[in-house]
Amino acid sequence: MTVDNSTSNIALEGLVKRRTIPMWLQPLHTLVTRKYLGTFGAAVLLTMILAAVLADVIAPYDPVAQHLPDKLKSPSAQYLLGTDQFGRDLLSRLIYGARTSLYVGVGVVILGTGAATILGTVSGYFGGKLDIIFQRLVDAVQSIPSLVLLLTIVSVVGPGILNIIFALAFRQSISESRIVRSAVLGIKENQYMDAARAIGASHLRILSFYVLPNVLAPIIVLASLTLGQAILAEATLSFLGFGVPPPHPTWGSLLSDEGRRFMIAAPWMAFFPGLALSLAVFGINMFGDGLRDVLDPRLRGSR
Amino acid sequence: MQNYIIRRILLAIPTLLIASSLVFIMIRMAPGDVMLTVLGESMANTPNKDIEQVRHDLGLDAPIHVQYMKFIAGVTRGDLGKSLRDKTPVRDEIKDKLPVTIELAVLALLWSLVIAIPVGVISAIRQDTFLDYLFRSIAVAGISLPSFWLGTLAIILPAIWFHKIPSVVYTSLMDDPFTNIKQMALPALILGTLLAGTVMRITRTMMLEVMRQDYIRTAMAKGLHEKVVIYRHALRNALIPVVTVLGLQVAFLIGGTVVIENIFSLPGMGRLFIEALNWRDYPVIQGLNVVVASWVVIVNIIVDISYGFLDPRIRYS
Repeated sequence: MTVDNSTSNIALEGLVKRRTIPMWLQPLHTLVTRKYLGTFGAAVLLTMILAAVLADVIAPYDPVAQHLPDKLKSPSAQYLLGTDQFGRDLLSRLIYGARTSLYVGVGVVILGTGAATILGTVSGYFGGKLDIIFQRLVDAVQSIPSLVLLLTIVSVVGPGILNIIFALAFRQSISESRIVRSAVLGIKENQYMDAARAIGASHLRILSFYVLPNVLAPIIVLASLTLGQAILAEATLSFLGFGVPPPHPTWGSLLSDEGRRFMIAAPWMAFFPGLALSLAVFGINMFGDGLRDVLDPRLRGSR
Repeated sequence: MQNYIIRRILLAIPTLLIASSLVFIMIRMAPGDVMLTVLGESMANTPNKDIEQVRHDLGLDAPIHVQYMKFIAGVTRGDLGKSLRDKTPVRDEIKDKLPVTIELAVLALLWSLVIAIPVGVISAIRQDTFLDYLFRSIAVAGISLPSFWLGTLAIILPAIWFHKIPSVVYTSLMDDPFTNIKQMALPALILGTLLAGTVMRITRTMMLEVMRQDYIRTAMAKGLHEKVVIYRHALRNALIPVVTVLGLQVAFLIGGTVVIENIFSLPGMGRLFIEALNWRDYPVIQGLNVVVASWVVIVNIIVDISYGFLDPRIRYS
């Protein structure tokens, strides 16, 4: 009797679906095919990154160049989004502003999320007195509204893009560490943790091989949402005059006081920067939401 | 129950202490000599003796732990020092501005609840329909919109369309309630809308969780009208965690008042804060930080205690 070992059995054909993409790309695939808003958000983020990176190439004018005879011109073929009170092209200022916003945003995400991961993991994993003290600290910092805290820090240490990144990263890392900590606590409950300890795995090994891979999903989602928050926070600081110092154009400063008295005569000055900011933050938030929906049920993160 | 309340209050004291200490540290983090910021350019012309006199007046020549002790002692007494600008006690300056900010915050909170809870409920009971997606997108838009943009648009658009500018002179609630409400309506509306996004999402999540419960299924099976089930049974239980979240939003609310008061020229704590920042009036900055942190902690205590009243499971755990 011959044994037919081939997999070309017609009856089974429709049942077994072969993977066409590697497993780690699966979440991305689900995002694009199922979560339309999340994909829209990703597109917005991508546009923003492209604008920031290619600013020198695509911006029609120098963002700080003043064309005084053309000041306060409404949007036209020559100045696509109009000009401000010094004749500076708004579109170019917006494009370069994206660069500043992203620079601050990414810096805050890397520093803040990195610090939060370390703090949250250590606090959650080792527990005990360290954890209790750390939680009190987090409570205390969170009881000061973030804007108040940030403004206080910036007014004391002085303006400057690095100072702002550090201040924002500090505040974000405190709130985020809470979430990382609860994710770690959720993982600690699992039996494989006891098993690993029982066979004598060192703390470092357990952390690297068991804890971190499982908190990765919530952290990725957190990072994307932090990006939006950081950009908004930087814009708010700039609006109040405590952000990145001139002449860097940032979206917040474009809406600030000095331009305000011209905005009634030239409403495009108020409309477009805010629109850009809103769209960017909205897109990033949507992307983060979509990411969460795609990653969480799959890897059973703790959100 | 009493145990729960006492425990909760005792828990808050170290938090307040740490927060005040954090403020203390922040204010003294200035690189270089603080005197430079306080005296400004005139420092070069002032003789050393006078500089040291100002330093002594501000208590900055004492060793750091002595300064810290005096600060904490002051905070517990309610003495927050004197403003650098006009030498008035910080406490008095804040006392005048507090009612305005509280009124703004309360109105904004009420407005956000009025929009967010019904919308959250509808979004939950009509989950995954077009209405749900629409409301969820609007909610996310609410969190994404910058407060200062909405505020600025709210001022310039009426100016352009109707030639109306909001008044710069503030009328207090005591003097003329009608004008006061008219003046506060727009700022409160904007602040409330920004808050509403978060509240709506939480309400929706909580409602979804509650609707899956067995007792809801029993109520429906008994033949109760859907509306009765939702309002009498589901909503009451779903709203309890929402109350807790509101406590967390207080911090956001106060931060929001800083921007909104600045744009609408309301004489509240937010604007005082901005002025103090521009003047580098450190005692006022410090005092405001402490006051605001205390408010957040107190509100959270109240929220947690009321949570104990609303949810009997918490009291007995």
